[in-house]
Amino acid sequence: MHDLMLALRNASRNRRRSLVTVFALALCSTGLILFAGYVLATFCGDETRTTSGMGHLQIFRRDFPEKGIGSPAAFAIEDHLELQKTLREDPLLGPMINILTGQLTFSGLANNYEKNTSAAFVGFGVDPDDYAVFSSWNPFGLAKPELLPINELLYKGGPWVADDDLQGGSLGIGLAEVLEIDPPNGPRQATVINDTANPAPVAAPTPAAIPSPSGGEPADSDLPNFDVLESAAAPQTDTSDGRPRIELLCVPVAGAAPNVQSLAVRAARPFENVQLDDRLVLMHIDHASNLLFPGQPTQVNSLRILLNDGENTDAAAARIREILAEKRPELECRTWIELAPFYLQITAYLKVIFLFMLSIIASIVVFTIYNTLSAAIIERTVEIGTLRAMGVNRARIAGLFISEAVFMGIAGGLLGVVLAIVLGISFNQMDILFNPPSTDYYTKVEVLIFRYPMILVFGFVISVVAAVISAIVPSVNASRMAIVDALRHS
Amino acid sequence: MSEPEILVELRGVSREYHLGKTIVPALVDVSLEIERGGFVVISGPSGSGKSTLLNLIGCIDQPSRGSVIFDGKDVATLSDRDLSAFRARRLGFIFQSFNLVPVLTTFENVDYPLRLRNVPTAERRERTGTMLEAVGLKDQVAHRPGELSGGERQRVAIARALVTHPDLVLADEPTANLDSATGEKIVDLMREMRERLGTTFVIATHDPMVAKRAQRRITIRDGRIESDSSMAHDQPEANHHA
Repeated sequence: MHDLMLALRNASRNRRRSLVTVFALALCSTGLILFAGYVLATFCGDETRTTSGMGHLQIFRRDFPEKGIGSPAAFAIEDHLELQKTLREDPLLGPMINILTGQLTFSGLANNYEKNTSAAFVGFGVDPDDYAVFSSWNPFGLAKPELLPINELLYKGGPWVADDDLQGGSLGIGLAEVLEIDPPNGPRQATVINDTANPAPVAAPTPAAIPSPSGGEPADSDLPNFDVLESAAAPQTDTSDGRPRIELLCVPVAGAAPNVQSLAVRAARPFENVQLDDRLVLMHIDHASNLLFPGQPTQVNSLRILLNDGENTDAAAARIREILAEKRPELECRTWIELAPFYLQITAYLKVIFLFMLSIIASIVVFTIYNTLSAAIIERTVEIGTLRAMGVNRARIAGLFISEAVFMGIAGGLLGVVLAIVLGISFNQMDILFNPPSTDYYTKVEVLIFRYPMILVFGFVISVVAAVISAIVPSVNASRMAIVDALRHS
Repeated sequence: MSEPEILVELRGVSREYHLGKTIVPALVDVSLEIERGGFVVISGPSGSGKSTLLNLIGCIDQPSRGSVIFDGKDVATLSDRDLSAFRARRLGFIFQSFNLVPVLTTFENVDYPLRLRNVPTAERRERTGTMLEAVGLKDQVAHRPGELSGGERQRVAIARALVTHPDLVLADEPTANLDSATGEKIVDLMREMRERLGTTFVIATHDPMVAKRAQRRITIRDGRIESDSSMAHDQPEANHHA
């Protein structure tokens, strides 16, 4: 205890030097905490964007992610409502589930006959209510891009699909551009076409394209339905509500007849990335099902699960796999990380940058403390000799200097934490925006320091640990001084 | 009359320093015995080897050759840790520049050696207070060294050296940084403490005033003992100067 008191007094002996050292430590600690907060915000942002799009877990027929887009109808999940009921009622899994919904993912050709344009598309058939919950999923409380004023033109309007607008849907803004859906606000801006207060009337399906609800087959299931194609070739713009219409053509099963459905364009909007912007058609699941499975009850080719807490992803996945193994062996379950490997790539990339920065900052801390202690040791060489002559052993001499470093590390760490909190709050209020790679929208740069208080502890501990590590060499050198040489030092 | 008890014995001690490729002999084949309770002065010109001899007796340096026997034990056999504990227990040091710890108060400086020996708090306080009173500094207990005069600092150093009741106190030029009147008072104080506590003092100095008050005077020249004589008077003259 007395040695600690002595170390504390020695640390404050040269106040200016000690203060400069403490301040340098504090800045390093602050920098680390803020950068860690930024990296965490990036991780959380990526996780939010990914899970709000695909959920935490997906269930589908085996190999659907790899092959499903080529033959989407072949991957339909039989009795999906029964499976959903089983999962929801499972005593272990049920309480973890926030939303369990079906989705149809398919591809085809979108045509705008008015403009004589067409483009390949990827279609998402979704339940509008569930889609709204997915879209608003924000477990980390980050600033959602669609709520930022700078993105107003990109996101104004909505909802993008609605239960009372079965044939309405939204396009990615890139696809809208290609199809020349007239954008009143210019390219790469949301094109709001519908008036949500006056929803468009539900247009009847293209009669020739849809067999009877009784399940009658197309005239010749092995050949393209030329009647349908002929019918679809006519301009389909619905002038009654002023919304442009596009025709969606897809081939549900390889070799089967293509089917065509008309879609009233509610809006063009940005999605998670420009690749989706250029291809995506978001539509009501019933309408999508009608396109892929004419006349049949609504089908899905994936079940998407949004959990109440993403931390339960692995536990929920394990339970689902148990259930599937027992009841639906033809299905598999994958987590969002398994489905979105880019997340791990981004996190690995940011971790490398963080470690690089950590090593630079730790080096600065080490050399700062080393320099301070070395100067203190030179100044106090005679004192070291005196203490050694009086009977203070080497370990205790080293301990004195390490204790000084610890005090400076503690002071620097605490000051760093306080500075990080103040700067973090200020930073988050500054609304610094940036345009993430491969996106059309701006997002806010945030630092998450309160959601994960461990990074404050981390910044503090790094300061103390680096201080101790940097003190080892000079302290040991001090303890190994020859007593007579130390006493002779001038 | 019983034989005087030998506290420290140097047997054929040499000490050499290496300056690059040059070997500089500081002490050459020195043998001597220091009796318990003595007041020994080592004198000689600058560079004669006084401090080197003092350092070897004080176990803060190792001889190149020969051995230092302290109370019958060869100190070369002790590990650094044991030697540190040995110094804390049995030796006290007084330096020319006082060498007080500047961040500690007078009380804390004197108290420090007792802490090294893990003396209980109550006993520490009592012994420190007693020692500071003995050296006339009981009113300066809360002062830091920077707030004391040279004489007061050396008194603190003496109190610090004696508070553990060591067998031997080694003083290296204890009066060199003091004016002559203060220097005499310091020497008288050391003699008084020797009388009171029975502590052995070995003082390296080239101050004739100190040498004059010695019980035994060893003169060193060129690393060898030139003379070793006991003085006729052995009574401290402190009373005349106090």
